[in-house]
Amino acid sequence: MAQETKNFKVKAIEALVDGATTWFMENDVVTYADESKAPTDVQITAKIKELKDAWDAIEYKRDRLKIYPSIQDQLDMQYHDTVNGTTTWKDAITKVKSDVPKPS
Amino acid sequence: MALIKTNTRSLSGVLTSNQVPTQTITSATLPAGTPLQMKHHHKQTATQYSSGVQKVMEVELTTLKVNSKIKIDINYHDDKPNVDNRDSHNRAYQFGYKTGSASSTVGNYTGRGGRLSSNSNYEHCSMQGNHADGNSPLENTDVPSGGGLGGQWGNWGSDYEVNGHSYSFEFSPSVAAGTVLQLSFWVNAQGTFVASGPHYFLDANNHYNGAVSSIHATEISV
Repeated sequence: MAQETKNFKVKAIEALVDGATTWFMENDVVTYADESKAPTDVQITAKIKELKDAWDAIEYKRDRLKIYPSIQDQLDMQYHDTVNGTTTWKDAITKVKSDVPKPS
Repeated sequence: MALIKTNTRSLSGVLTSNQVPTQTITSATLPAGTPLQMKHHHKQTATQYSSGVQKVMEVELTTLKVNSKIKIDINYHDDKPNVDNRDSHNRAYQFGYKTGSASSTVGNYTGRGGRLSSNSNYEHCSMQGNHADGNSPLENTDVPSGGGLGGQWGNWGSDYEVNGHSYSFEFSPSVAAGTVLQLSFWVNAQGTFVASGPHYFLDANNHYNGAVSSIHATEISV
C-alpha cells in the first residue's frame, strides 16, 4: 500500500506542476528547478486524495479482470451458446458481476 | 648437459643526484593513446524525476594536456511509469559537455557521442552542436519497456526490475591543458521516471529493488 501512496504523490505533483518546471525527488524530498512553480503541501495532499479516490472507485473493475474467463474461452462459450441455444457465456459474466458487485 | 654456475656477485653503491637524468615524464610527453587520468561519478541513490529535460549524472575533469581525447563510459539504470499505454512516454538519453562550471541549463552543453541521425521535436535534449558531431541522443525510444498497471506484474502492482543502458564513446573537445570540463548525462522524458531505482521507488526504507548508475571519463593523450 505504501508504494501506491508514493505513486499517487508522484502523479499528483506531476499533474499540479503540469510541465511548468522540472523536479526530482530523493528520499521523499522534492526539489523544483523553479521553486515559484512548486505546488503547496495542501494542494499536493488534496490531489493525492482525488487520485486515490478515483483509483479506489474502480477497484471492482480490477478485481473482475482477475476472474473473467479469457477472451478465447468467452468466444468459445458464445459459439456453443449460438449452436446449442444455451446461456453459458451470459451466465459466466453474470456470475463475475455478481461475485464482485459495483459499489453503489 | 653441462652445469651452469650462476654469478652470485651483485652491484653495490649509491647514485648521486648528478647521475640521475633530469628529465621527468610529464603528461605532455606521454605518447598518443596513453590514459592520462580518470574521473568517476557513482549514482547510488534512486531518484524520482519529473517529465522534461533533466541532468542525471555529471563528472568534472580538468585536462592535463592540450587537445586530449575524452573517453566516456556510462552505465545507467531506470524504470518506467506503471502505465499500460507506453506510447506517450517518449524518452531521449543524451551526453553533453561544457567548459567551466556546471550548469542546470541544458542549452549550455554541447552534445557528443550520439546517434548519427536527425532527431526532431521531442527526441532530443536541445543541446548545442550538430548531428555530424554526434549531437543526437545516445538512445531514443518512443515506447519504453516495462510492466503494466497494478495487479499485472506482482502483488505490488508495478514495475520491479530496472532497465540497463550502456554507452561508450570517445570525443575530442579540442581544449587547452588545464581546461575544466563538465561531462554529464541527461534525460528528456515525456513522463516521470526513476533513475537507479524501480518505478515504485519510495524512500530510504523501501529500496528493495534498484541498480546503481555511473559515468566514467578518461582523458587520453593524442
